[in-house]
Amino acid sequence: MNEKRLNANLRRLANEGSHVVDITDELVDSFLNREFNPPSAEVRDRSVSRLRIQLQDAAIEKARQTVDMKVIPFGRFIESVREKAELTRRDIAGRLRKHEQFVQRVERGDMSPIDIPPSDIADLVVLFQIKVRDVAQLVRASLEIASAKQGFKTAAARAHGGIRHDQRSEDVERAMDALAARLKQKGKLQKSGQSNKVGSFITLLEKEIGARGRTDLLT
Amino acid sequence: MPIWQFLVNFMDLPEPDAEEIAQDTFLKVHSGVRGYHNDGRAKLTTWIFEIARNRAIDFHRESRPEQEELTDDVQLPKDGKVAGRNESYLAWLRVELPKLSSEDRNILLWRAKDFTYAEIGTWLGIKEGTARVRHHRAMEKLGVAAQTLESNPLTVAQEISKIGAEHE
Repeated sequence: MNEKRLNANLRRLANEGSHVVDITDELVDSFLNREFNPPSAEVRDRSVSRLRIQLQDAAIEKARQTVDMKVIPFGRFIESVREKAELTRRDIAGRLRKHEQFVQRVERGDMSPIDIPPSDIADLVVLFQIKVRDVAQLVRASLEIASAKQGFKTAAARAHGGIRHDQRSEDVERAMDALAARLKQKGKLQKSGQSNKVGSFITLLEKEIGARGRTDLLT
Repeated sequence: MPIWQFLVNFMDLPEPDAEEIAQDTFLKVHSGVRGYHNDGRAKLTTWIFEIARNRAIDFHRESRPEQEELTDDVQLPKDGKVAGRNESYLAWLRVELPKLSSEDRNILLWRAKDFTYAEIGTWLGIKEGTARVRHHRAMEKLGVAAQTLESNPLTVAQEISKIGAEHE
């Protein structure tokens, strides 16, 4: 009997699962005691980087299901999902190839979503796997809440000794967003009057998302 | 990167595919680790290697070319061994392997996967030399089976067709 041929075919049967080799503690220990050529640093780095991305995507996907997006501004939605996914702003910035401050400004609503280049918003939307119809809702909420916050800002500034909004603590910003969101929920906020802007923003966003091949987000 | 090495060296995956399967394995581990209970049956590392093995098996099955249709005119033994197309040899092996005892089968598979006689001996609680002898005996049993089948080509064709039908 030709042992080489037999072994080659036994390996094939084992690889295809026709005859499964049991993985036991002893077999794994023997395997781990062997000396193999380690993979190149390039392979290792690439694997670690891809794995990190996949784990982040899985965490975002899971977290996204738990955040209610009905009355929340776009930035706060991103922040809530990010925090539930236990990711840092740096993680998100790394994925977007942006500076950490960009993520902070988006989350705090320092930049209105419609003033952010559609390509950047598209990167965020794809990363957070948000459907375009939901983006429209989040952006409308952003605009209404931002408009309402204008009214609070004088009071907030006085309460903080006149310090600028970008130097107020995250908690104060969040509290103002929450108050505005509550008012919106109760129907006490005026429509932003920028529905045309939202419409054209969404059209541009759809083009960007289509160009990235994520037609699943357009439905 | 022991998992990557396991996939390349033990499960015979091409290196780029091993990278992908290793990532899949870790994702599965990450999402399912809460379901792992250390009930004394296997260590966590063993559980991870099992996941990697199963993913590699899936990969091999998905990337396997369509099996050749097995008919009565398969190449039959000509040179005292089961010769001819490899698919015929594999089909024959699929028939014969389950006829061996589980220990013989394991010894053959372990050797095919390049484990040493010393390692096999340790697992079975026997000496290295005894493991070597048992491996040769297991091969002999297959060799005898081959000769028996060779003496009756019709049986070979029938058995192979039967296995072919089972695999459809």
